[in-house]
Amino acid sequence: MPHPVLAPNTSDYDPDCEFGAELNLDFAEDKMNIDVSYTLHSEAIRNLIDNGMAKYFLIAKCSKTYRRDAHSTKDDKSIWELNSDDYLERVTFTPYIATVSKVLDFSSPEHLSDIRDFRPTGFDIPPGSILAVGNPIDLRLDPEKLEAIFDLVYVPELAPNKYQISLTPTTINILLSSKLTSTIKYLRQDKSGLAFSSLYLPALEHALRELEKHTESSWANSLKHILEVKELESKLVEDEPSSAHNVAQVLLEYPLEKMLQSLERGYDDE
Amino acid sequence: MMTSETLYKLAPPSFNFLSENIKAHIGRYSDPYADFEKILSEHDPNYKIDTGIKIDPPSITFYGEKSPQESDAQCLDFYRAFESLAPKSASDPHILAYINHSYLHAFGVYRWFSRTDPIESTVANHWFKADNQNNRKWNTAGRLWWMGHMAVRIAELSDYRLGEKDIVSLFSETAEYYHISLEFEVLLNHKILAECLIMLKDSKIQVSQYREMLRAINREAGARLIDSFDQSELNFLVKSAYQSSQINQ
Repeated sequence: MPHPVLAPNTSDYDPDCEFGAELNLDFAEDKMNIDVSYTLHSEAIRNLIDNGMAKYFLIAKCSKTYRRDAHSTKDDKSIWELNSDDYLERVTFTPYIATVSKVLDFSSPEHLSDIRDFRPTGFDIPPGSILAVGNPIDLRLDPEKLEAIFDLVYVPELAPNKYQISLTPTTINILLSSKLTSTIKYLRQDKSGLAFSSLYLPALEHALRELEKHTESSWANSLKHILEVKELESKLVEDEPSSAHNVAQVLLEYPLEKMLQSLERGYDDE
Repeated sequence: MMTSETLYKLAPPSFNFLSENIKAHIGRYSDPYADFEKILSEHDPNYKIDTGIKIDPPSITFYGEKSPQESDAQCLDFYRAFESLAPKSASDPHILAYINHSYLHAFGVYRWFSRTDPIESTVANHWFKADNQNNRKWNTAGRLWWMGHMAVRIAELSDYRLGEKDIVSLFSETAEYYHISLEFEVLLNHKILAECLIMLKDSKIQVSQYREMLRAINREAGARLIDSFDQSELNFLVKSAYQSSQINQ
């Protein structure tokens, strides 16, 4: 960025500065009401908002329904109404602060000294420039759907045939090398159970074993809800390692059996 | 006068019965007269589920050999008939598979197999798969619905500076314009895409230059929140991206 940005992965601002958003979702008939509260600890950026030169923006993105919508406000709290039918499974909300008019000579003691030394007179920032980005927030619209808690993540640094499992605050991430990514994306569609038995089963098993250590994570909350709905809570016994394996198989509808049936069909056809 | 009828979706076991046995039914996917409702009901009387959605039965004829361009150009008529499907339902593989087998089978046969015989993977792509890009690009019902939906929505967001039929012409006459427009995340905001299509129509740019122009906008989206732009900023951005695409040609 050609100017300082306040974001979790940048160090342009004093470490005490912070920006983020909290969302509460409420369904009413065919509407979704998003109650958003922004947290901003930066005098410099707050002054720009107060002077009408910047605003909070919340971007809602749903790749399932090919949709991206934006909501803006100058207030720390706001309500955004969306049509439920425009979204499916998962919506990612990303909070931003962006300029809405040209800002001249933007400088602040909150900027780290390197930045102030680099541009002592401050920055000229055009409208639409990103001043702050918060952590994205994933909202699951259909928490009973198991697929929504997984994410396949392409990691170019991984060795060609390697994959890893990572439990993030939002999803169970299956990290894949570039070579595996395209293969798995294809296999995921064919319902043969191959991807489910080779990737999702161990990932889900791992997540079930770690469930109680991740009570704040959204994937864990969704998974607990799924276990409750399917009446599988009592089958998951902490001191019994095989219980996670058994429950994972039930949740994924016995993927190994599906895969074997699929292979048998393949042999019969030949 | 149109009469509304109930839209059904395939029950999951019936969806699996067809999608896992494409090879066994492969001959039917080259026969425009194949009656999948009959095949499904014989296999399982409870093969379909009421979606609670009412549709106007398609009044246009989807049958007969048409070029891919002519086929895509029917998207608005199709969309009007199935307009009550919201984006959420138009992404449901069980609904799309039902439409593909019950309303669009003959259309699909001519659309995809007029020059080749069906093979399993192509049947899967056009009759079943409904993941994000496949749905909008290759699923028979998905492609028609989303192309029509985008035309209607983009026309509205452009304040009708671009008409629905203009957009359908751009997308159907050169399918790459449609496909490229789906590739960039920032264009999920259809107000931005509307400006790009207006530039495309007015300056009649080629596919490679259109792609370059969208790349330039995508680069800009890395530093600026284009969703926050007002109309004049958006015009300026698209014009600059167009000029940069001319230089990079």
